[in-house]
Amino acid sequence: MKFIITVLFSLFPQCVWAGPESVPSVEAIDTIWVATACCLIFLMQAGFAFLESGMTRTKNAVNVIMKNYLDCCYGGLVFWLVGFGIMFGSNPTGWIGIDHFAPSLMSHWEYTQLLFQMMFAATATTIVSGAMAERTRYSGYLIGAIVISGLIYPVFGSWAWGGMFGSNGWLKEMGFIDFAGSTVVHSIGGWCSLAGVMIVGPRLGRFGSKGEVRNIPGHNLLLVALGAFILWFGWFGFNGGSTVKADVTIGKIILNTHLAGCSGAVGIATLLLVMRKPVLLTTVLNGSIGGLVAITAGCATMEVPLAILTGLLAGILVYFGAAFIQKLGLDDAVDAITVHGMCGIWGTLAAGMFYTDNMFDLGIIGVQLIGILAAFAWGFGCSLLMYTLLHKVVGLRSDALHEQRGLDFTEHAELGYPEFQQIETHNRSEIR
Amino acid sequence: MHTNEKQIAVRYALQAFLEPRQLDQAMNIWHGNYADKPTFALQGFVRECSVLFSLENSRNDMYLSLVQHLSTIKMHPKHGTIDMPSPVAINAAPSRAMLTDKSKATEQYEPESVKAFTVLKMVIEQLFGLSGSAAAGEIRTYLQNNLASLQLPKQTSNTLKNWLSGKAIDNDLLEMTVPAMRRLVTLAYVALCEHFGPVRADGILDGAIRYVSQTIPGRRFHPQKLL
Repeated sequence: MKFIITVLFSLFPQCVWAGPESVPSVEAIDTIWVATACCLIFLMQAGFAFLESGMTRTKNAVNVIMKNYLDCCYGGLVFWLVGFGIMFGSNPTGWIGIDHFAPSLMSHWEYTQLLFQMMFAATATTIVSGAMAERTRYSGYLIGAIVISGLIYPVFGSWAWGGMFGSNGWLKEMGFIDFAGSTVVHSIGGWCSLAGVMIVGPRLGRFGSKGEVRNIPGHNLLLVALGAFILWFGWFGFNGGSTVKADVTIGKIILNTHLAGCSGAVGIATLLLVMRKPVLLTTVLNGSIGGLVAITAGCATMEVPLAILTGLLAGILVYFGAAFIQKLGLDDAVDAITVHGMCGIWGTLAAGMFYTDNMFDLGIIGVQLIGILAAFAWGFGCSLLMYTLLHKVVGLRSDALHEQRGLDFTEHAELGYPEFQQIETHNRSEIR
Repeated sequence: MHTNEKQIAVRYALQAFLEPRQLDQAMNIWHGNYADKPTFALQGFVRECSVLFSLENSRNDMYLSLVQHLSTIKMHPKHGTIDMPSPVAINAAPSRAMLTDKSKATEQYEPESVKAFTVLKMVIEQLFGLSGSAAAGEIRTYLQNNLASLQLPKQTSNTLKNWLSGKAIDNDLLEMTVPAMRRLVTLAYVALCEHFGPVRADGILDGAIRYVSQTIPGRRFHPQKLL
């Protein structure tokens, strides 16, 4: 037997151990993992596109997809141009980066970092598209996306995560914990959505004269579910990749992520059952996404049972948060404010409360609160100003005629379902 | 069906497509070659007319109009005129005004703007019909109160107010462009959204457009142009 094995090995010289010079470097292995994670995070754009498009009406399906598509494209370029420098450039004051704009001639690892952070920026930006769906002018939305990618997100990011090229941001210096961006990415996106929804106003007829909420069902729940699955899958890269290296902790991080998503769905589904309400698909999916948002801050610093608890409470929060937003007369087409803004708050607090080996430390919790408030003040304040200016100068709200015709027709001269359009809302002869 | 009845039905069906002299010419063709032939021969008649009068684009609509009128014609005993054929309605109850509209019996050639306004009135009335009487009253009031937002000439605005109040108006005196009519339909849509929500509003608007499209096939002004 030993003779046969020896002969076999001698026939295949490449099986012989080659030596240390052919072993990939640590940096190469790290790069492979981070680049793979980038691909997963990019896939979340498709997840958002499917989920948001499915939750809106047929006549706006293309418009929603196009918003997700182009905000990633414009946002990527703007983040490369100015956002990366603001967020990760040298930061002597702790408030904003001042170099590394339009970066080139960097090291391979720095390029990998740029790519990774660009994907995060795209995620933060695209959160807004769903909230403002079905009544927002395309040009106004894109300008807003550019400002979010190039300024609003990177500035707060510099506070919480800055320091790659020297000097940490002031929040980071305080010890703010946000491992993968419950606040930095999701809450910022949520607060920008809140501002946008306030300025653009509700869809025609969304609220009755007495404030009653009128349901506007999405046109394709299968797309919504597919979108949620893709987002969940992408989140493995979103959270797992935030180690920024091939690390043994990745398994636990992704496990915490997965379980939080599970418990988020279970939490809201159980709540609905207990309240004897229909267990709606969109509500349950939002519950799981809320869980994923919440665990994003503490997935690397909490134990598994607490990750489950974090997700569970996030799912329950989604139900009450969505109802609260509606009660305020705000029309959020996909509950982005609740799922990303409010669950981001909860997740950031939970990361402080459930910090392994130092749970319920008031000092840590206090810093988390400061970070949460700073994100709201900056994210909501800037975007409120931005959308107000857009509304006055460029125009943010679609015309009533365009809203009636559908933004697919008016903004893109295309129909999402030309053979199956059942409602006549426009003059078809105007489309070639 | 007697030849006389068929003749009247054919004339009535083609009125929307042809000018008076063209209509006479078409009727001569029909008398000479198609009057005693079965219904399937209408295809040949329509082909001949569409080529002769350069109406190839309206060929299908002309044929549909002929079939519809020939299949549902009946003589009105009292007035000797022809009732409108029963329209095919989809999820819609035809409004009373449209069913008893006798003006078509003596329809003459109309300018495009008048045709457009006639279609507009039908669409708006159908919106009221589909909304139910209680909601229709509120929507009517909403339109009257918000006509200023359409930025129409004062006379046009007053005429529209009179029409919305149920008073008779002279269509020929109304100067209203198609974009302005579109704005009125949009205003009505906004009122529908406020009252019913956007999902049902879309359905009502769709129902009204489809109903008017099928009730008056072949009109040169398609109601979709008001969207």
